Amino acid sequence: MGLWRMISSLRRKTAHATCLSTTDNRTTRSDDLTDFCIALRPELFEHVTEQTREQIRLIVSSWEPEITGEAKRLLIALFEPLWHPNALNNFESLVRYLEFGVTRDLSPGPLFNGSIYRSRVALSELPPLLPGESAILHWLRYGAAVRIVPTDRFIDDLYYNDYPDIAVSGLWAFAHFIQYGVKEGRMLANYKAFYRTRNANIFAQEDLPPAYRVWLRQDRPDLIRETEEFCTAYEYRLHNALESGELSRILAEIGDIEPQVGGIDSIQLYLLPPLHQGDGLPFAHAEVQRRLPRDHYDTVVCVPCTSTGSSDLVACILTEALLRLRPMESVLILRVDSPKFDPIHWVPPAADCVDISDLTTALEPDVAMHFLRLIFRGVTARRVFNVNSRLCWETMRSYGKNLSKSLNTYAYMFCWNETEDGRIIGYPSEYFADTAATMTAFLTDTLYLRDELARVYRLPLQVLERIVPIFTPVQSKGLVPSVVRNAFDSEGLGCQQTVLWAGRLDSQKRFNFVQEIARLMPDVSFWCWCEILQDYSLDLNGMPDNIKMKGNFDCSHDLPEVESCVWLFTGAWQGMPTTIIELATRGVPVVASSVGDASEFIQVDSGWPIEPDAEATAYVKALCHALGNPQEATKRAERLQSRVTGTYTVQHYDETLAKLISGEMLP
Amino acid sequence: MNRPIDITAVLNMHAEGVVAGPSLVSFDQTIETARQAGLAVEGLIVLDRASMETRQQVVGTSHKIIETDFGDPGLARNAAVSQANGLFIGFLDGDDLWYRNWLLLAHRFCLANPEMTIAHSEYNIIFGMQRHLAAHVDSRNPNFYHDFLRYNNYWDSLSFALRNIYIQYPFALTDRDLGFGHEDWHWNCLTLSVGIDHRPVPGTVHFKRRRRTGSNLNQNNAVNAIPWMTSMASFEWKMLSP
Repeated sequence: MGLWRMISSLRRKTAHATCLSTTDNRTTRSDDLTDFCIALRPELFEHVTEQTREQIRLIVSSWEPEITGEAKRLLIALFEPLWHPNALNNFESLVRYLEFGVTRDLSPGPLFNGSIYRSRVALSELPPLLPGESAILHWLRYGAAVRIVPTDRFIDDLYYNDYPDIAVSGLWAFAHFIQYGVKEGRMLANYKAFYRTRNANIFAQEDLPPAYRVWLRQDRPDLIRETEEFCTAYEYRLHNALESGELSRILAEIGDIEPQVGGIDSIQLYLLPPLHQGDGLPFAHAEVQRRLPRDHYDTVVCVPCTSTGSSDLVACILTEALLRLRPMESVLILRVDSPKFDPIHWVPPAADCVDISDLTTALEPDVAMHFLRLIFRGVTARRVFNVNSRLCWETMRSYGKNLSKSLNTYAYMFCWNETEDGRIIGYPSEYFADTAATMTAFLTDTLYLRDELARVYRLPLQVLERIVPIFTPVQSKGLVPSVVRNAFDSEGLGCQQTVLWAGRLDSQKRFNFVQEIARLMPDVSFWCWCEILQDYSLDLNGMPDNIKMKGNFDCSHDLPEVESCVWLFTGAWQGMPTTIIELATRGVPVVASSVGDASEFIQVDSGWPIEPDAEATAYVKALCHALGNPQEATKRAERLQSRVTGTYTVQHYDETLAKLISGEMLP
Repeated sequence: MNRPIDITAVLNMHAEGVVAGPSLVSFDQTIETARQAGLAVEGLIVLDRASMETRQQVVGTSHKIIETDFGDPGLARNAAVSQANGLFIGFLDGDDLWYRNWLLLAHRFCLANPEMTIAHSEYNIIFGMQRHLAAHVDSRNPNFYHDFLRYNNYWDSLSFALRNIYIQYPFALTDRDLGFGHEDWHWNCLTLSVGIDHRPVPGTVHFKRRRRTGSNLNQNNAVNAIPWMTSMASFEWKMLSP
């Protein structure tokens, strides 16, 4: 908030009390006056201390008694520190002026002109100014009381004409303007300000009222700041065009040709780009450039945030693969939707990862989409991958055709979700149909989702070919000996039985169901790594004692050193359970609901698949079987290990991705 | 031997109807002012898919008329450029007005550095559905903020420059279906990116009519159209020193 705006509110509070006062101002106590001055011009009294207050009190008290309190207040209002620039700070500048400037006939600011005042006194019945007498002192003694305006920059009648509320109030226009009007944004007829939005401080930092900017340029052009120069130069020019009547004459002449043009008074707004852009783009646009380590990226990967979720792992695997395939190219991971940031270790160091979620969420949705489009253009990306960013999906949907002319657009699609009543929701159902025509390709991490989309939309071959299943490679090599064999060899199996589970606490992962299973197996420990979602309410009261709650799960680090364990997967619908794939490489026995792609590799010879609609007892039976039969558990876990490590490989992933991007048509 | 033409004044019309009347009057006045100052000026009217009402407005005019079937403001302007004989060209749209000093002052202004100057009015006064004054900024200003051109336009289409500049950098097609529009904005980016300055001419004012619907600007805004890519859109692009 600029100083001027800040003090305007303070001034408004005291406006009527002062301007409408009928008390004898000569009786104003210096304490009250000091307080008033501080309230009137707080920017002059920053860091007010008792010492400061005393200093002002002494100066004000020392003034001649015939100078009224009202006149003193007007002097404080007239004083402009910018016109007295050699002091250390505003307060020192004021003190110096009050002590020495007044008696030496210096002008307090742009609205006091000693020559003009002298000429006006000469035409009045006031005591004449003596040779060498200070004009400002004379005005304080006599001129202010009879409302002599000491400048040709202000005309009372014009102000009354523009502001009828002041005209009918009986207030002196000049006194009102310098004390309150200017801070209330009341403009003088020939001093039009170009409209400035909140963001205008990117381009012009000085928050001076418009007329004062023009006067500063006239009186002290050497003091115009470089950043402000841009604006004041145009305002000065506009002021001249208005004051000379040049614009009015042109408008009058054009009015003869087209009456609809109207007069100069009908102009409601004065615009000077870029000051008027009010949608937040200037700041966001400047800020994103400041944050980006480079001006150009070949690939942008949009993610909602960075967390320990599977999609974030996929985004990083994708990034790593791109850097492997195109080592000379650059990749930017853009965190678009949410400031959430888990310090995950899998962001490839060769990629830049930048959070813009604070910028996108501060913009209106339409503007945020446009902003993202500007970033893609700005970094001259060859391709954009969307990995679950909603804003990116929205942008692809709104501007897909437009973007497709300058870059290749890809979107990852994972499983879709289901509501409790079985309705399909989620990004594939929300955005696939609207973006299918313009997206370069879609990536799915399962065959299942591609086949489902083909079935639901009856996709022609041309579209189907652009849905590319790409299996997320496992992050670790097959562990030898496997976890299960290690436990078996150490004769640990059967000693301490533990069921492991990880997932979001949402309806898809069915943690309620896990609790139900745990209750049926009171002698078995259940270790659960949970990500709590803000928009999902779950009552954890009454949770069985054998459940041990953990934090977020990182499958490459968090597998506990337990003697006998089985992984439990209770997902209610399809999707590639990335965590299971990672655990499978380590040789962990898995009991899993047979949904989506889990059913592709968890079969009776490689785990314990459970029918999707099975009850808890079916899981209990399978878990007991796995925990109680170490040889069978070892056999199935190692078969699963072999299947996963042969399919979910970096080589497969890279081949698929390389084929995809080598076929790019643009640019 | 005929005297070379200094300026071709181009009036682009399509479906303005009666509001083209005042535009044509201002067009005539401005040409006449320049001629009285000794400049050789030819008028050229482009009727691009013009409505019957608009055609009726130009009956009896002394200016050359060409008809086009583009339905596109940029391509219509390019057609005018191809027919123009003037060393300089100034454009006016069929619902806007010039003030009469425009061609004369713009010509004087550009002569100082013709190859590197595109002239614009100092002010645009917007009337009709909106009422405001918009100042044109000078790309030579040391504090000129070029980033703005990536998300908004500084200068309108009523420009004045050497014909050769318009030949070398023709206006682009508007393709709203693809989300590309604002041919003037694109042209401004294109020309600025090669170092040609866009500068307001002191003392000049254009009058721009804002209609409720139907204008190119409204239609482009409705689809959030953006200019075709130019090197200026890139964060790598930096303003050349003046």
